[in-house]
Amino acid sequence: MKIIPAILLCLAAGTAAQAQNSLEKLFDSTSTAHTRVLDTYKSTRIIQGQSTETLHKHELDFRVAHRFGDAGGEFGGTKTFFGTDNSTDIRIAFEYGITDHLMVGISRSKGSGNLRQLYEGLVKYRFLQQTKDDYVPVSVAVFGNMVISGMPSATDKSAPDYFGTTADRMTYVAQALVSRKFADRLSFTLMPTYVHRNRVSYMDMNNMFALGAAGRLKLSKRLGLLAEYYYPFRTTESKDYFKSLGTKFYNPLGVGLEIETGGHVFSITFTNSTAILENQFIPETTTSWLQGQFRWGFNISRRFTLFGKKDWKK
Amino acid sequence: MRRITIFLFMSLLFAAACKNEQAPSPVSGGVNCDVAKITTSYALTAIQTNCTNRGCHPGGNSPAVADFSTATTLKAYINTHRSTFELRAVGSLADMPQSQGFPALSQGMKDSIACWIAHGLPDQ
Repeated sequence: MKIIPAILLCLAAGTAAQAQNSLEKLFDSTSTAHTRVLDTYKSTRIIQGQSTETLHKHELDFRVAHRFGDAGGEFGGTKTFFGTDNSTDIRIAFEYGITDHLMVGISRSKGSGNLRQLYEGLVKYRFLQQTKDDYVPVSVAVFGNMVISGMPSATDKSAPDYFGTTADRMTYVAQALVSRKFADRLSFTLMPTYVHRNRVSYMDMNNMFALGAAGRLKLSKRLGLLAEYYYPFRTTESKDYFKSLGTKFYNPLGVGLEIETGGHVFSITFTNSTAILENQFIPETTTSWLQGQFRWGFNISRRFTLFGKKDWKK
Repeated sequence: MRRITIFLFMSLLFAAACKNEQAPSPVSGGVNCDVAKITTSYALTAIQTNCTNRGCHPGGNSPAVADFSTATTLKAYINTHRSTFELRAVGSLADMPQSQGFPALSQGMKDSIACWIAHGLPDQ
């Protein structure tokens, strides 16, 4: 059982290496005979989750994501200016395109959930890109990350943030991303996801599958409407246990606006989940839209081209 | 070849670090609430030590609604938001205190605070 998460993660990362040479040939052939569909999304992230977009070769993406406190409910309203007095999670990241289809990144997040002070390493590889003539009908990418918490350990062994070993601090995500752009305005993505947490609280799940779906409706050349939803497959036994303790889990749902302004992509988002990383918002969302426990947030992306623009355009 | 070596190394790293562990069932921190005498002074000291600083629950700052700077404001908050306080501070999946270098509350401290609330926030 212990080896399964490793295999899945290695599949996500390893596919990049194993398949790259042969698939590069496919890209080469499609680039001449079949025109690739571009800009399925404007950014490498949709709202919370990943899109099938990757950075260009030698492109550095500096990203800042922020989620405020509850906009409504008992913590929201005018007294906190609809949540802006509080922050539930903040992420700062540097991501880099090794090739036009393979990117890596590092990030630091505040974290929101059982673990905090999170350091992340990520890799994403797009091995198929949709073509306009439907020779390749969808874009497909795999994403994987490894996250370690730097927070002090709890003293209570029953707490999820008690760390007996360094491995107890680690969580992982492996995700397949399948997207299609319909005509010029509508993009749709399916995101089957696997989350592994090395150590969890009593009756929580170390391994959790989830299915995500997201879409983008292009409103103008620079503006898009985004929506994203995840359905985590938590066991009834686990749900019932936490419900008996007064904790109910909700499915993450987000809507947002994507605005492109030159080298920046700016997303304004509204989500019920408090966390930014998949490792947390998929298994640990306990806040509900219907109780006003949604928040606004933003993702800012600023891209820089390293080693000269001419080099990566070749 | 170099690429394959890197990914094999990463695979080994993942395999070595992966584990499935579930925390043991939470047990009482040894507090017998029927006879324990937990006072406001204890609860306030525990909360101010572990939950308040310049950026957290200090009063007049974020979050303004949850001001734990004095016994009066702490009790006022618990009286009006009891379920939230119990869920987030002393419950099984309590997510407070958050970050800011504060460690999690021990089960004994959680039980004591829960007991103080159950007894009606007594001062003596």
